[in-house]
Amino acid sequence: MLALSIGFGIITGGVLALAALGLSLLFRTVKFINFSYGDTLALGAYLAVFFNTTLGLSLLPSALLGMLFTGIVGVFIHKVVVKPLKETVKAGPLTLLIATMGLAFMIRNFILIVWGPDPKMYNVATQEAMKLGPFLITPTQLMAILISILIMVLIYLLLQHTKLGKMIRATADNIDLARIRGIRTESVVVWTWLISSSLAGLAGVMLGLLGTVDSQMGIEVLLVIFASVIMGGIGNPYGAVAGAMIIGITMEVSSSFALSEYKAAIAYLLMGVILLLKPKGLFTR
Amino acid sequence: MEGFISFLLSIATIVAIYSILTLALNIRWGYTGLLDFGIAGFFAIGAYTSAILTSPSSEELVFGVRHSLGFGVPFFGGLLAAAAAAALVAYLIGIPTLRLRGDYLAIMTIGLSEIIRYVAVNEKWLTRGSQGIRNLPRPFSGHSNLLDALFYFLLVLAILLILYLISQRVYNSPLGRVLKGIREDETVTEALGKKIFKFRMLAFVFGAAYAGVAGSLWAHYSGSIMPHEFVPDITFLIWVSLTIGGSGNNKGAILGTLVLIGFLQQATRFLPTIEGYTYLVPALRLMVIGLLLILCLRFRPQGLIPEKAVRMEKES
Repeated sequence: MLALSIGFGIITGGVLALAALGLSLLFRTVKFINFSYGDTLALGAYLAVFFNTTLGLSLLPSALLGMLFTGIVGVFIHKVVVKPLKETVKAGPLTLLIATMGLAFMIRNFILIVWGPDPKMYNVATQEAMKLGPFLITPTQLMAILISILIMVLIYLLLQHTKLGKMIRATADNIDLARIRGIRTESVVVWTWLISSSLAGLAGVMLGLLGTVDSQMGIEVLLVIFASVIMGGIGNPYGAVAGAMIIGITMEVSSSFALSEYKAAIAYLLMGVILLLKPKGLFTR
Repeated sequence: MEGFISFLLSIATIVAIYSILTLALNIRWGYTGLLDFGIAGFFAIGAYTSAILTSPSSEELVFGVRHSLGFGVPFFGGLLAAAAAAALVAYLIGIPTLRLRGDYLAIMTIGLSEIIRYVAVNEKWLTRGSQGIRNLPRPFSGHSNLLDALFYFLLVLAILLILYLISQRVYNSPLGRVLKGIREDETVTEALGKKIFKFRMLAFVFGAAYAGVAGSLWAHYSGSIMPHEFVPDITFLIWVSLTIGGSGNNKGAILGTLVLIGFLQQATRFLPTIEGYTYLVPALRLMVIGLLLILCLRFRPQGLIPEKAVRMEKES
């Protein structure tokens, strides 16, 4: 029983890690918390529902298209909302946070208008769970965790070993200095929005595969992602991944002790304790 | 005619109650710069405290469990207890969270307000879960429906006026100046010898007491409360009200609430709903409100009634 919930915790944590990685990457560069991130994730899940069940594409291309469009939505948010606010009214991080809260409500209710209040599911055949050591896992779940790991490795390689990655890191460290050194910081910021929002979209599809897709999933998952990101130290992408794993496992294990109503609350309390003891996250030196 | 008057009265009462919430947010965010996304939680605490205390005591079977609910406390007792309970919870929550940076505070407070709502959904022995607490007494009732509504509106209005005057008094007092100092520059204020944490706590608890009062008034206005009434949407509406009206300005806070809640939220209730698509109008409304928030931040960040600039002593 415990092994089962740990197993499911690892899967949930792996998917959450993708989203946490995206949010953390974005925060490092733009220096404000994007409150619409959860609903961007939900939008990704719904777009994939559209491609999968309405247009009848199979799951993988649907997920990729959902991811792509969510990424574009992210760039759109940057170009239409964030950048004008920064340039015309010199909006600080707190104002931008409030503005993205407005966006969050726009996206959430757009979803409600287009897809209605009933939960949606992807068009996948029901599957037998396989035994993998002490864990039980369905092929879809196995896929989800493998893709998560693959994407995380790709992001790691991108950040550490490519020119774009170097530019992203330089811009995150000091945007003015990066600009002086000839880095086109605006295009780096656009790339960051694209990558982070498409990660949200992908995570949304996977969460939808593990459970259902519903219009409130954005706000629910946002709180859990925040908890992961803060746990790992805000702006530390690798810490965010570790934080997500800890949160995922804690949530699933605690819900096997008849606390399932308070799953998210437990993630929160954990975050509160971390904030009290190590406000800069678990992994700061 | 009578129907129209009672429609107007109900909108006016709702606007007045929400105005108290906006005043609460103004103390926290407008004065002190606390990025608080937990207003709905304190609203809920006030509503539930008052509802549980004022319900007539009775033994009932709820979900197969015999439990007693209600203490038959009179309305004003419930009102004061609601303010006190919200303030107490704010104090306890404030100890760990108010030392945090602005954006962390936003995350913690929205999370806590959701936890409060989970408690209201799940602790059925206390709150009756999603069934809600019903048949709450309303003071000064027992006349015709219209008179009852009028009396209750006047009561809410009087309380709003008192809280407004207190808010104004605080704004212009030395205390208000310290709070604004914290908003503008914490380091300088601290260097002047003010204990930042203490003052932030004061603003946080103060705002919570206001929200608690609003919660109690809401519970006895609607006569029944359910957990889903206290979703983060409430917090969002209050934020937009304050932003439109003019953050830092109490008149602005009330005007913003009137515009947003009165005209956009409540007066569009008569819009026809399409059979089977009841969610459509509310969702569209929230989308428009989200857009309004962004446009307001972009084109009129100071709001409808901007905060007065501080008058300098004679410069020479």
